[in-house]
Amino acid sequence: MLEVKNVTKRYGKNLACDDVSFTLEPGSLTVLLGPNGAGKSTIIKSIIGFLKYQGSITVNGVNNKTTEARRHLGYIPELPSLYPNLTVVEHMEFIARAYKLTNYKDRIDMLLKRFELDDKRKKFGDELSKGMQQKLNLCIGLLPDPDILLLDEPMLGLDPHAIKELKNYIEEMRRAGKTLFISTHIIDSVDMLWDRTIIMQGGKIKANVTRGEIEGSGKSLEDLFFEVTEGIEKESVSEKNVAGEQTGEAK
Amino acid sequence: MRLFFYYVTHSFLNTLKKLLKTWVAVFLVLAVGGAVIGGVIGLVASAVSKNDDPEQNTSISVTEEDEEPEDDDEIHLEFSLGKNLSEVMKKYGISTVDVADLAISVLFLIVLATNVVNAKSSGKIFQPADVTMLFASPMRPQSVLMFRLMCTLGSSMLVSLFMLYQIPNLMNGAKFGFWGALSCIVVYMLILMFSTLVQVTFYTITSKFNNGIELTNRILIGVYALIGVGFTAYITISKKELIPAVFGYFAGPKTHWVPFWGWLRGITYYAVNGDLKMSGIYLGLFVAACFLTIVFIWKMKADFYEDAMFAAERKAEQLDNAQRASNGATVIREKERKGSIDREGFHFGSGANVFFYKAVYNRFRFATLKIFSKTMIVYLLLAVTVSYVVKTYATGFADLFVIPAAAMGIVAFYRTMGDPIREDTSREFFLLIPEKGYAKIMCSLLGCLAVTAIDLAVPMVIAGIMIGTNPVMVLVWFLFILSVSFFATNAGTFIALSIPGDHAQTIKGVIQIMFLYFGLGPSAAVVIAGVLLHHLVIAVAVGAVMNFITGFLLSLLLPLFLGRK
Repeated sequence: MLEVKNVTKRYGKNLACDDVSFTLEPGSLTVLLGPNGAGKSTIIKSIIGFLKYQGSITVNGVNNKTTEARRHLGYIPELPSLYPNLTVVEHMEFIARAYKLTNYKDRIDMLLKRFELDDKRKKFGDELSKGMQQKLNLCIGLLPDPDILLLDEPMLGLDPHAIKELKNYIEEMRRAGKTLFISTHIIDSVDMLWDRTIIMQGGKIKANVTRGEIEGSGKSLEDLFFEVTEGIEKESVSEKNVAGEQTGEAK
Repeated sequence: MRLFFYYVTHSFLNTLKKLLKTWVAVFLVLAVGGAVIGGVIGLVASAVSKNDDPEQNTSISVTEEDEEPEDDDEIHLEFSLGKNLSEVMKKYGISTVDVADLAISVLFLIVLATNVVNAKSSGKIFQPADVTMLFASPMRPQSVLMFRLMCTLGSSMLVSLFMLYQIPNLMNGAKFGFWGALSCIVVYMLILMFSTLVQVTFYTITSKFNNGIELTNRILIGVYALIGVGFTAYITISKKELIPAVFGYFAGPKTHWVPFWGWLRGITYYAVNGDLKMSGIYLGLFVAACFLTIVFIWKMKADFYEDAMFAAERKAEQLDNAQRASNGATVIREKERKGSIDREGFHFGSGANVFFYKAVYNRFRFATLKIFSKTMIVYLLLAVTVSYVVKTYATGFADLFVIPAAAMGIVAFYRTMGDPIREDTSREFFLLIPEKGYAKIMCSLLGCLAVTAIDLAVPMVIAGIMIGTNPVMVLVWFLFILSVSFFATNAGTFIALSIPGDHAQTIKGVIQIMFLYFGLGPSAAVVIAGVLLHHLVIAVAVGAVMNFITGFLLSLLLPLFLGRK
């Protein structure tokens, strides 16, 4: 279980996250939505331990910056960064060694096949197209098979086959009891997958809603997003849900 | 450690693989082949000499003894500047080892200050991929830092290996023995290593405290102020002249016990004086202290990920910009240009020579008052400062102009490192313009040369007037510096065009330096011969012609690689 409690993050005078609190239950898929500058990437980077912040973030009760917590966390960044002088398969091997994985060869083969990188094994990082780099980025993030996976705009730059494959993979991970936290702008791409959505705006959580809570209303995730962020049909969104969940999760 | 070795070996081998797909393969084959043939010849020669009869050996030794007076004759031919310099050194009791000691001392103090000040930007030590791959992994931050530190140190060591070429120079020029010359190279490598260690150490310390950067800056200013006060006190109390005071304070053997600073100097001092045991002790002390520093960094629990992440992101952005620029895209400036800059005055040239006019036009357009470019200001400051210092402190010396000329030449030389005409050759339209490839490249190169000439001309004249030298001497040195710039620009462009991709920048840099070393070597030899034979003007002019010819020959190869980038 991942708990984010009263996290506040400032960049100089700019308040990027303001007293953010939520919990990710094991085996759930949470979608993080919000307009540009809402603080989505900041909260993800805080969870993965890149940023200094006020408040607390724990993974199974352990501080997120400890080695123990990091073993359970996985991260797929928005923009791929690869080593220009390592090949595709060497990147995978490198990550396996960094995470001290054992018996990883078959898993590397499986991931490269699923994301159509099998024939690019010997290509260097700087010889791959942007889309291929993003696929390798996904494979690297998925290789350690973490219990909690943070995905920042994972569909960006992927071709339709890769998007479909990623969705299938996400579904498989959820069935396997993994916790997934996806930040995205492409709401359609996660509409069928989510269990809970957190909508951020101006560094604050504006809504924290489960699928069950809006299922009866006939609204889609997109409807909910615009209701919360732009105030369209605001009256139809339960204020209780919006405010209640935020404080409820904080507890 | 396994991870480090995996990364290092694979990165290194892959870099070599990429390079071996280019002409560098031929270069390496020639170098290895040359070394093997040279080795075989050496072995054969050695075997033949061993088979010679003892009488012949005796006659050789007699001949060597007979040749000694000829060496004396050569000494008489010594360049007057060198002669006067040796007189000054004799006057103050300064030996070449003292000069080496002072050079190491000053270099150390500069390296220490610049690296402590630059410690805040040490986050750049990380590769952008480190952030997404290693920062997110279960590795301790210190392990990640150590991983990248080791890679950087290894890379520094590898790059500094080319300095081994300087051993014969130090043996012949400074008359050091082999171990003395080798110790200078070892000290150079250790300073490179030390500079990275200092930066990372202070980076780790400052990231632990909120106002760490301001604190270290204050401490640094305090330490250097103390050194300055100490020197003032020393010169006042000892009542020494400036030169012996500088040597006595900054290169005194009594301060070899001072950690790092003294130990480094001790390595060379004792090696040159033949005391290898003491030199080894100082080397051991320095290496042990560096090792302890690494342990200190390892033990320090600092949270530097945030700063390192932003530094790595900026680096990624810069790399992306460079990549975009090399693909012909325009990079958007972060700072807006001044409104006063001329924006519609370019009406010169047609065909390939537009590249020449563009370079010259931009030189004037972006210069302050359309005259003073930043480079010209640097040349001016150098010309005035060096000429003043030389004129004031080196009275009685002949051919003083060589010193400011050399100082400006070094700046001109370093400005040509990398790929000087990338701005033109990287653009798609450079290929598309319907002119001969060679004409376009030559116009671009000449534009670059013209800009150097414009920046250099006035400072050279000022230095000439301040020193009161012969105008012909000023002219030939001016042409010589331009010829060096021309050859070096050709070499940089050749390497950039013929080794595609942005990989292996370090190795590209080493190859470029080797190109310059061997390409400019013959003209340097001619100038030195001119110095020894007292025909400096002719020698410098001949050297300039040689550089222009070799540069021109190299430029003929450039169009072959133009479309391949």
